Amino acid sequence: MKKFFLFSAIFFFLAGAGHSQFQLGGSYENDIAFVIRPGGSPTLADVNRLRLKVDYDPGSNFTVHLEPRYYCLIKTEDIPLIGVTDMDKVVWDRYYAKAFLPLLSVTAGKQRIAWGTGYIWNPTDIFNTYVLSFAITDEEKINVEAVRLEIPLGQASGLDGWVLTGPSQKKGLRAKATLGLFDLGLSYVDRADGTSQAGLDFAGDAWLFGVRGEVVVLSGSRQMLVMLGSDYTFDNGVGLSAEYFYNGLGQSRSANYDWTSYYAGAIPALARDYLYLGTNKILDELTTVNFSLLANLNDESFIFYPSYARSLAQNLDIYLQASIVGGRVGSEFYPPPSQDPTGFAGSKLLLMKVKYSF
Amino acid sequence: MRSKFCIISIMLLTSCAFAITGEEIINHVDDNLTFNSGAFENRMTIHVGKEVRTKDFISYSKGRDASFAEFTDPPRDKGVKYLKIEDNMWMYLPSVDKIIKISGAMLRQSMMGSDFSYEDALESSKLLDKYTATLVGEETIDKSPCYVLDLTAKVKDVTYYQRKIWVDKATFVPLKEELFALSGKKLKVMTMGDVKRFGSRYYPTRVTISNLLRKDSMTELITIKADFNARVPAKYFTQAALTK
Repeated sequence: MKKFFLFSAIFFFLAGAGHSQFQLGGSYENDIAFVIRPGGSPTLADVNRLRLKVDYDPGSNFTVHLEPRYYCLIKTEDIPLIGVTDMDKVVWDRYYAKAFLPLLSVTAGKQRIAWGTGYIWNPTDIFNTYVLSFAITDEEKINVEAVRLEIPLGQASGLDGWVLTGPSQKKGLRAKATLGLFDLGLSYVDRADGTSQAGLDFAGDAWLFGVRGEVVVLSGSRQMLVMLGSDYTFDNGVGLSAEYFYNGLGQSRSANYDWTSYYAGAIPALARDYLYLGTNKILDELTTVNFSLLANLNDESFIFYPSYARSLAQNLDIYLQASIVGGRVGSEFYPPPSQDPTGFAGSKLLLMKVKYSF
Repeated sequence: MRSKFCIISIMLLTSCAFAITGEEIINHVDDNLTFNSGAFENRMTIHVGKEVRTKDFISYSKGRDASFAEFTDPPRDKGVKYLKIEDNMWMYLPSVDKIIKISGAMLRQSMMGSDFSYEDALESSKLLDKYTATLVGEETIDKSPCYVLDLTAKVKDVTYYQRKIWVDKATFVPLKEELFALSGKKLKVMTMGDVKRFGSRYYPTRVTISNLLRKDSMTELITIKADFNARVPAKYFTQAALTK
């Protein structure tokens, strides 16, 4: 109860603050999750998420961004929820200073470095190579402590380089340009483990289809990671999106999956071939319905994720989501008991999120 | 003799009534609505049934081919930016600190939950570059005498194959526009109002658009402040400005 009052006091105090150079915003989100085990009863969890965003702009050429978050979980038992980590403490998700010099900009601190053009798979982005983007909010993606230099060359071209400042000395460089209706990027990453990767990414128009792709060649294993995607919107507003991912580090037989490397983050996915299909329909300007299907083409397991989003008021949104996994026991999305430390494999998830932005 | 006189008189009267051609009218419209440089403060109000959502944004334009917009309110959309350079359009999402190219048929999707599509926002070329204009009559809208024109696409890459436009005779500002698909289906209806004079040009500071594929929906765009002589720095029309 004490925690709740402290939480509320911080929230209401900060929501009212404001200054021209000092801008404060953020969001408060309440998620109620029901996890239904196969043949079991529902387990309930209530997650409170407070995220603050503080920007200090003393001049036109310098800005400081601070983004702390505080998550509080009220639960009946430990259950795995995507993006729910570091409970009951303030986590500095992003904190950086950015200087805009005449020829370049420099960003130093914990920040998001988002490369690539994919929706689910971004092989050129070593920090967020594989994210269930339909299931988690943008803010839950991984940030890194780095120094980043961005050098614009013309209107839509430039160089983007970064060096991690933590224990790892990973570094990367990307050159981007726009040719006709296509954005093109060439990248190189030194993974600081004796290996490196070279990448190509693109996004553009092909007739009425949006097309996107990423190709990465890994120096150590000499394997490739490939993402190809496309989207289309019909006249009636129904949008379709598809992505195929080829994972050269994965296995085509589930018996050969390298669960240890996967959990350690050494490989982006277990299997070799994946497919994402998504469709969305804007029912009216305030309501959207989405259906997402992520399939492992090798072991034929899948996640089906329908969702409904509605703007309840100017700054208040509600999301109803469900996650249904399918496949045989031993597959990626229905892992064997030996690879399921949570004991929640095969569970269905129902989520109701209410988010207030301020 | 008398019948010949009548015919000639009718022909003369008809030619006087349409002394101005459709192309000339559209040229005047283009002169009003296109500009070399501009800075604007705007409010977009989305009506769905009885519910209303407002979004504020600032925008800059340079010539026909470059424009930049940044949403400043409400909080959930604050910091979302758009950049248009020629036929390319990008969106910046601060939540992921990422620039996303809006391409293909995604351009047909709703922009920020409004009745405007990305294609509507992207459209900037002169109407006569893409359409042939035919003056088909005269009508009165809100007590303003208007020319009525049918526009038919003469190139393939257009958002709307046909348009019907009511142009105010006094100001050469369109007061109403109906937008049609190739099939002839009416897709959207726009109205323009609160026409103000900025130097030698007339400009509608209130635009409404209704997507007829949706029920009970209408978006109103109000130009709160407009400066057609603004010297907008070139740096706004770069991808670097999106992440600033």
